[in-house]
Amino acid sequence: MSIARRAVTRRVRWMVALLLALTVGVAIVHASDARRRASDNIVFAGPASAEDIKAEIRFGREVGARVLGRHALEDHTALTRYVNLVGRGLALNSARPELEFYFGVVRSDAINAYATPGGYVFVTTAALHVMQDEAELAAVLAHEIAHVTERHIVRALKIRGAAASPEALLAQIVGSVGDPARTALQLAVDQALEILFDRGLDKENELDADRYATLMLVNSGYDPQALKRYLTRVRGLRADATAEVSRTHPSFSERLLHLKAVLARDGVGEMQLTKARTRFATNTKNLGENP
Amino acid sequence: MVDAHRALIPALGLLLWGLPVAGAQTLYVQSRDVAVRAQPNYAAPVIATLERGTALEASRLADSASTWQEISHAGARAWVPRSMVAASPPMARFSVTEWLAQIGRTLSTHVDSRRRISDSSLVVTGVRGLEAEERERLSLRHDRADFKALEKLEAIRLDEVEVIQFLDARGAP
Repeated sequence: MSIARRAVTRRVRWMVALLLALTVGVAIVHASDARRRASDNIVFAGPASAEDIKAEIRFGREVGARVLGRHALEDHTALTRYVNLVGRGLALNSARPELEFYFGVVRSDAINAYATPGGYVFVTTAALHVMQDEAELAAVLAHEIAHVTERHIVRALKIRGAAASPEALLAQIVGSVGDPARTALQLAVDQALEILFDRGLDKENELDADRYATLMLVNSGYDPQALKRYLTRVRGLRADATAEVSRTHPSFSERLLHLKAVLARDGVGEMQLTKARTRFATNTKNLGENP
Repeated sequence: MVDAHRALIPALGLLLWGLPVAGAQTLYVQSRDVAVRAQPNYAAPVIATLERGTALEASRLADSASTWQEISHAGARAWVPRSMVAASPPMARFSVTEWLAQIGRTLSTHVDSRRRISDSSLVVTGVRGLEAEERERLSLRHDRADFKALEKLEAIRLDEVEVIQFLDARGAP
């Protein structure tokens, strides 16, 4: 082989090697990006089956009944109906149309609200007393709706097993019979109650719920500043009334700072939307009475 | 050169691995309706309103921290709130009260026969994630349940039309 031909061959080999390196590089980036998008799709996906939803609701009922065992339901038909109208209006804009949400007012001096899986949401009388308009009520309910739609409690339960997801595992526990199953279910219910009243969810879940709540307010036509206004007011109240919410949530300062960032994005904070102050005052004026 | 050709095979494999999920993704409106905007910003004009169940085409899925999901609408780029769409068609509303009526008793004692498992491994399943101290603490809980109050709440009847009328009656800011 001549020297010139050898040089050409060497050059061709270098070019093929370079092309190969580029192809492999592009392929790796392309494949990993595509797989990442596929895994995002999992976040978008809803529950696997109607059985999972039934299990979620049944578990939520078990926990919800215990919330009501701890704090009595305010037996005030008009007020309960009003809170349900506000809550269900928000739920129309959630990503869980398969759930029927129920909203109740519970008697408690703790300024707080609770959500159990499957769509059961409770707000305390003390929290209602602090609110000044319907948008603030909507903000608190929207925060709780977000915990339900994002399945925060189910995912926070320390249950492990062969099932593919916490939801499927919960369905296995809830749908089983016998003493072992009852024990497992009881432990899961106890964990959920501990999360609601003592331990709280992860900070990220709470901040996410604040963000979802603010966006849900905008999507539903309520003042997006409402949660910020409500939390600012609650922060300044006496410590015994806020002890539970402080124990189970990130600090007010951190939540307000996070909300400030949420409101600054995407034109959210500039929206001039309704507070419905008069309607709120009319519907809550008899709070504490039982007509 | 033969070695070079062989090296191309895994690279092509990697490309093919990514291809099935690289195309357009169909998403579905989950909320009652959704406003489609010309820009990812609430101040941007609404160019269409789509009802629950409408299929949307997304070339790229937004991550969970995003407010907006980019879609293709009438041949142009458009945006909808990410929290109002999902990859599966919306499921029908599940009625707890109908379910209760069907089984004829409270769910607190209900067991679905199709999912019956009687296996002591469930206890292991239930507690495996717990430390001994956590198990001890949880065993001390004695929370009373009030299913009657819960059923009272579940008895509240509100149809969607009534809820929408209530929202529409709020008035100006």
